[in-house]
Amino acid sequence: MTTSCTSSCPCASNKKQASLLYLRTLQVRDFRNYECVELEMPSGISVFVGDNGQGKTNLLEAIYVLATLKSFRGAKNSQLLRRGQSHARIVADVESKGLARQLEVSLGPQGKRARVDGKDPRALSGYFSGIKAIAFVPEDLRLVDGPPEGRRNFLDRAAFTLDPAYLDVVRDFRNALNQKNALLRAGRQRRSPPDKALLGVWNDRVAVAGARVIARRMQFLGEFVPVFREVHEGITGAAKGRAEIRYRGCVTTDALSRGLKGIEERLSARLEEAMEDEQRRGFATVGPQRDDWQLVVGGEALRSFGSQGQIRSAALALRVSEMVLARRDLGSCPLFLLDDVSSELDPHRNRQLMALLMDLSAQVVITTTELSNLKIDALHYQPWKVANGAICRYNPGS
Amino acid sequence: MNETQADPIERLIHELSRLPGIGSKTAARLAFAIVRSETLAGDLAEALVGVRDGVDRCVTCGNPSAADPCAICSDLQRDPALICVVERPQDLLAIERSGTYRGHFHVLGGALSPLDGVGPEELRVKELLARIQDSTTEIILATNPTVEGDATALYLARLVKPLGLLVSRIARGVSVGAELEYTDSSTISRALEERRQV
Repeated sequence: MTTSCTSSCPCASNKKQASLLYLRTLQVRDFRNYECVELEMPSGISVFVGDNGQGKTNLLEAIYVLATLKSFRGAKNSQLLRRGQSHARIVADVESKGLARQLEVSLGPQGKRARVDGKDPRALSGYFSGIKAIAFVPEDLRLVDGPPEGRRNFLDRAAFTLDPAYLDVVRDFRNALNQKNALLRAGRQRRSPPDKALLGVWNDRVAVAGARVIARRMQFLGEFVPVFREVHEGITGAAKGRAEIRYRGCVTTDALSRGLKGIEERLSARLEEAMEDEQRRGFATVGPQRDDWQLVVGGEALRSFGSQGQIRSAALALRVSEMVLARRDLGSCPLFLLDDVSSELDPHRNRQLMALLMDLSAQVVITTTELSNLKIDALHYQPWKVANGAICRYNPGS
Repeated sequence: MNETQADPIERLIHELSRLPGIGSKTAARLAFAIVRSETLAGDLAEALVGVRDGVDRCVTCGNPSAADPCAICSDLQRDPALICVVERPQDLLAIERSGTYRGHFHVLGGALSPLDGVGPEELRVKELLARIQDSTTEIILATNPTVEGDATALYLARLVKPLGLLVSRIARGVSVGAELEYTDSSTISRALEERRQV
């Protein structure tokens, strides 16, 4: 089952604008409830329509696994295989910055294996340079009102996408923190707190590396927040109030503005203060590993005061902002995967969102139970029908 | 042949493959070279026994040596006022190969690592403090530039500084002869942070 856009289709004009990165074809084998599906994708918007439980999200997940080697549902390898199968395969012809490449991920008992044009890439960074995807799934609402861990991960992952060197910074910090925790744990087990001089040394390492983590997060937020504010206003309308992101954590706002040295000094002092408490508890209680951030609109925290609709728009705006930043800084616009567009977002916001996505000229893949949920002109997208693990072109009229 | 005993060649391969950096293929290659040669096995066995019986640690610096004190500690040409602290004997060897250092050494036997149960008592820290004398002027901390090595250096620095000594840490940055283009980004960012005026 294949399809392609004619020259009169708006997708075709989008192509010229260079949605710099897009999947031309997608082949999914023995993945979740799919035995074998082959699609030829338009460079614009694709909409997969079907009832619940038919495999819409599974298809989106397959694309996400291809792009990130991870499931957005946190699923293990074995859960991604079709029942009774030992291997699955996802293959796509991808065009990125004018270059065509075939990317392939196979899943088996030994884990995932990524290939570029049939060859093992020398490093995974070579694979990832060919494809990027950002997904918005219902679970993302938890970014706004869920536990802080998800928000920290979002921040660290987004910062890493724009600056791969951030990974080393985080690794150094984790290393120092794990060593410090091991020291505190051992002290608790022996029922004699660790030597202050020794703990002080690890605190120093945690402070040096932790300050770098915080400084990079702040640097990232400095770029991210203006974009987020604009996207959020685009979706919700300016009248709802100014959107902000407030970083809250182990150092004061005042110290945050004083750069790496200022952060390090403050963090050092905080660690010093917490020393006795940490010795008693047997684990580290202060540091960027416990920091958090919150979304504030019109001066009020969405987490406590936001309606479902507001929370949904804000979470969506976070993901779209990631796209905008990636497009600006990396020069290529990732695929945007939008799961379960439903009536939750009111028609006005829905329309705003679609306009925004068309502006980005990204390849967008949407799933929904009803085409009427989408507030876009039928000319602007390619609809597909998903039923029980099979996909075909959809003609709403027939 | 006793059935419970392994084949001698297989055993040799097994013992060799327990060495660092030697996999089963290399071990097999070495084993067959030893089997083929008439003299190698005897020479090797003698050298191995010699190492076991004749080599101990120098009580002063902790470096493996047949003599105590070792050749470095007893070398009168060297400056005893300088002590360079390293994690392992291999690090000492690397510094010696550079030929630029003419002071004494102190081998710690590792770096602080609570995850592996290594604290100051597991390292030769007391021995270091004991050998510092009035004539000692500088302690050079040459532990590795890792989180553990840095923590160890800081620990020692805090311990030694109150004694009124000069305490220094080896510099880190872009390696000599390397091209920036091929230097990893975290090394470059460190090198920039720790830049010097010229």
